[in-house]
Amino acid sequence: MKPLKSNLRALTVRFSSLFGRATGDRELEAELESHVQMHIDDGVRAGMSPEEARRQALMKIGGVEQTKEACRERRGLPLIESLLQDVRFGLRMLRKNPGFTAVAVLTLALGIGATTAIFSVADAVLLNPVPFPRPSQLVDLYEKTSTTSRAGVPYADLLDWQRDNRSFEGLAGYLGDEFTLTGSGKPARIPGERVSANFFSVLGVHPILGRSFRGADDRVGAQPVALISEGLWKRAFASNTAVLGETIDLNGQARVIVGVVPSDFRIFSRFGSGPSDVVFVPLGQWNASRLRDRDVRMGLTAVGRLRPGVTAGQAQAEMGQIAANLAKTYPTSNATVGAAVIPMKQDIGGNLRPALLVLLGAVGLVLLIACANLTNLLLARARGRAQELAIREALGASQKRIRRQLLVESTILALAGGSVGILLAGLGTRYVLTLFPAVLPSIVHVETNLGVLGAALAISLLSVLLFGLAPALKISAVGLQSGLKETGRSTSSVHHRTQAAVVVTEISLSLVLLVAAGLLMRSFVRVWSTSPGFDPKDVLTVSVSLSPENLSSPRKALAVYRELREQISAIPGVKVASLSLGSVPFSGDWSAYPLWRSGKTPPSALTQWHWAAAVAAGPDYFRVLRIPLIRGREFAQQDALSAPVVLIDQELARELFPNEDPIGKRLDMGPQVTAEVIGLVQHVLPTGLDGDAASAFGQMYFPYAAFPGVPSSTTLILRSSVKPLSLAGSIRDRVDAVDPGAVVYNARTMEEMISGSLAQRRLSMILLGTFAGIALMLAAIGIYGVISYLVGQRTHEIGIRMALGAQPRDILRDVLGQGGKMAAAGIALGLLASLGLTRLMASMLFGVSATDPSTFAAVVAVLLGVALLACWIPARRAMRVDPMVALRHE
Amino acid sequence: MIRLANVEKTYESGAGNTWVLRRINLDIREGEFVTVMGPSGAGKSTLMGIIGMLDGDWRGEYFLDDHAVHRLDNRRRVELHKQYIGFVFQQYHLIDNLTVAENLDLPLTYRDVRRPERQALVADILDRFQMVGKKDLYPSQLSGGQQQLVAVARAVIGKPKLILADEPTGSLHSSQGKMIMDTLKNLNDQGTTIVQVTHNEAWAAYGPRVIQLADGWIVDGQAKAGAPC
Repeated sequence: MKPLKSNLRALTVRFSSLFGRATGDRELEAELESHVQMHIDDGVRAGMSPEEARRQALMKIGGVEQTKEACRERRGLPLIESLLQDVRFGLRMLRKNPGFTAVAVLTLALGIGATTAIFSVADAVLLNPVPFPRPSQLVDLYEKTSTTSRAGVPYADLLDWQRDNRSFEGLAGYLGDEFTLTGSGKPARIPGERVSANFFSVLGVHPILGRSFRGADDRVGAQPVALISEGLWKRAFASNTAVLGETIDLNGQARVIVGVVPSDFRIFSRFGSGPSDVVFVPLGQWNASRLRDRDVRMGLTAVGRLRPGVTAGQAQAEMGQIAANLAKTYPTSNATVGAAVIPMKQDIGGNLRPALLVLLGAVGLVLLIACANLTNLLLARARGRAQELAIREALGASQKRIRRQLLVESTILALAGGSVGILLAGLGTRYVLTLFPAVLPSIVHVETNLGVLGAALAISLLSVLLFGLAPALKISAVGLQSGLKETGRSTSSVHHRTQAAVVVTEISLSLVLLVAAGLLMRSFVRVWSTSPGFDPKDVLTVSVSLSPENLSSPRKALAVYRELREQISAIPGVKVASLSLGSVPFSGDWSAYPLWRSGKTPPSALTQWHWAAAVAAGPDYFRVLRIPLIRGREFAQQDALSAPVVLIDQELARELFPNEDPIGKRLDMGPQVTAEVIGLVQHVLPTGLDGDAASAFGQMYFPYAAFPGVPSSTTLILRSSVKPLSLAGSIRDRVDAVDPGAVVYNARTMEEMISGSLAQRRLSMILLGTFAGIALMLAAIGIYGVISYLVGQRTHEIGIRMALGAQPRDILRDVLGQGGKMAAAGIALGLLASLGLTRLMASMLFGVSATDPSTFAAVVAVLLGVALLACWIPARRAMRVDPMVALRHE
Repeated sequence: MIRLANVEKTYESGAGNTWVLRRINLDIREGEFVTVMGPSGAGKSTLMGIIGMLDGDWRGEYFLDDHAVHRLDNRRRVELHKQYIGFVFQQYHLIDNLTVAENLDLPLTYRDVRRPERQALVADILDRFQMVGKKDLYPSQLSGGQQQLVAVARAVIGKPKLILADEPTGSLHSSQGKMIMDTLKNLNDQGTTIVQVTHNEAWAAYGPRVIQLADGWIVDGQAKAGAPC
């Protein structure tokens, strides 16, 4: 007990001595002085002279300074004290070399930050994208047709699938739609989903209030009910729990609110960060005839939860059999239609997978380059410090102590770089998300991934700690004597060969990234310069949804639309206006219809007909978009009232009437309607400039007045002589005047829509460009560092050369040549690697081959230029070497 | 051949200007063998640097034959240097990662001599200095005397009219030193002007004229005009 007590006391004393050290020293000095004085007094009393008494006293005590040292050792905690001393010294060293510190910290931070940001997004999109319980059981289901493997599922087919399958615990369907919300202030257009009753239970989502839909809700004639999102509940109902049982007016129909869906619930038919106001209504309540028509695909997606033990492959086999049975039962609509079962995880990130994999590769290379750069920085520094450390060792510092000191310095550096890296990782992740929200599926929840952050930190820090010890290892390798003399030339040349090899690697990796970024940029320019087939400049599109009263009959609705077009045309600044009831190019919506040439027997299955994208076009539609009319005529006022007429584009003409004049020919539009072709127009790209699936479809235009049924919304399109968006206010006023209950939304310029269609391509290009820029910068720093170091090493040699008659330009050529050789080696290696690696990104390219010679040449020129520029600064320093000083130095 | 008039050199230091050379007036005729002596810090090496045009920061007049060096820009000085001067240093100053032959070749490359001619010159000098067998060795593989011999060979390969030897034997033992001095003497006998710095009286005796420097001043020897040997 007693030893423990005394040990504790000693420890307390030792700890407390870490603080108030000056006071302790003063007390110790005073105590020792009093001891000495007591001995002196004794001596004087014994008859000695004061001087002799003092001499004898000091001899007895054994040296005041040595005694103080022994007391201090017993009093304090030497390990902690020396560690603190190392920390202080380390901080001072880093402060004294601000250039080195800044570059090292920045390099670390960029490596950690960029890697974590991209890995976080990739993790969220590719590895863990499904935010529902037991995600591996969830699959998306589509129909496979002759034109696509992901066609929407007709509702009637979904009902058959639900009935016939044995693979799924539950199979649900959902269909994105928009609703006009009235009754709570100004009418608004909000997104919504029509979902089957079991939709939420299949996904494993529970309302935060009330209930989800029941089977009884999901049929025509049932009481109109709705679920609302938490955001809408908070905004429109002030989070009132009594909201259940209240009604909400959607498209003029009052629906009883039965539940509130949590705000973090998102499904991926919507993009962006996810709107806060969303409604859900039962799919089966909708009595639109086209919903139940097996020939019509409205974009309904099915989602299923596999029974335990059933794999996606087994489900696929069963669904294939069910589809085959349906094809036999309904040959007109379902012949050649199959079913596709795709794991939800794979489906969500599908489009982004190639881009994300390329970006992952790129960011991995950036991390590698960052580590390489750090290695070189630390190796160069090691060279500079070897002599200092040798002196320390010669003065009595142990190898252990020296290593600890270096380790402390490296740790400080690593912590500083790591901290800034963590900051950059957070900012970088947010940057990717906020700058390009349209690209990432809204279902995906991205946040800085701590695991990835930890891994990136660990790799970077490990390289710092490892190479931070290089000076101590060097002393061990060359021996103290050589370290002191600093003439270990063989070691130096190994040293600089290592550094040169690292720089060559950096340059080659940078070249790979630059080539990849260059190819994406060229692709982007190619895509951007592709003509969409019309003139998008100064075109504005605005969506309008009429009030329920005006949508009560087609005749009424068409009259209002006609009135609207006239009113909009009269707005000052509007050159010409039209409207479309089908799809407008680049709006994201388009629908295809089956066609067959009249007079020829069509195949029994509609899926084997020709399919064309159909647009219901108002008067002056082609003038607004400046779609060139090649032959025939545009629609006239009476066309909607007389026999059906259509305009077709060149693609469709080639498909249906090869080598013939299509004007006057007749088309069967489905089994019931036949129309005459009155005009031929240029092909228009409907959804993207880069040749997506929709571009392959020919196009057919019919008069908007001939549109079957009552469209709940229309798109006004106009060409203006002023800034298009400046007209949005006037348009809203005119629509209000014609139909006060109408909702005006989605005012966008056509150029904005085209630009939006390139968001993913732009994102990949910008991110890869950024990484390539970082890599180039790091490589430039790397080559600069090595050449600077070599120039420093060669100062003496340069002096000799100058004494032997070398002109400054000879020295410049020599130094640039040295850097040039490294750059050339790096470029050669990089070119080889690029030729292999860029093939992996072939699917991301457009109009440019993966080995495009001009891109490769431009990148080589840029890299060589930057490398030589990085050598230029040390080369200039070399040119200014004073031979007298350099020669004397040795 | 060399005429220095009132050449002065100072360094800026915290306490003001430090004089290194003061009012140096010196004439050296073509073919002379001149020795500069003096204690450490007397300014011997600085004087050699000025004569060798390695140092351009001084005041006064310097004529090399008819060339007014003090009026020339750096580029012209380098050209003149290449035309006239060969240097031999105390620490040899060979380039470690070049072989003997490559070290000898180096001054020729700076004189834009064509490759075949350079090869011939290097072969000739190797032969003259009896170092053919060592042409592919690196300096670190040679003894001190051999290294200095290479340095002398390198200094003369461009057929300079003037050899400046700054303590050429300073790092050698006496037999090696004698070999180097004999070589310099031999070159002098063939008409090359030699200016050497040494602390060694015996090596100083190789030439008839000794200039004594102390604290930057010429204290003896400027008036003597030794006859060419």
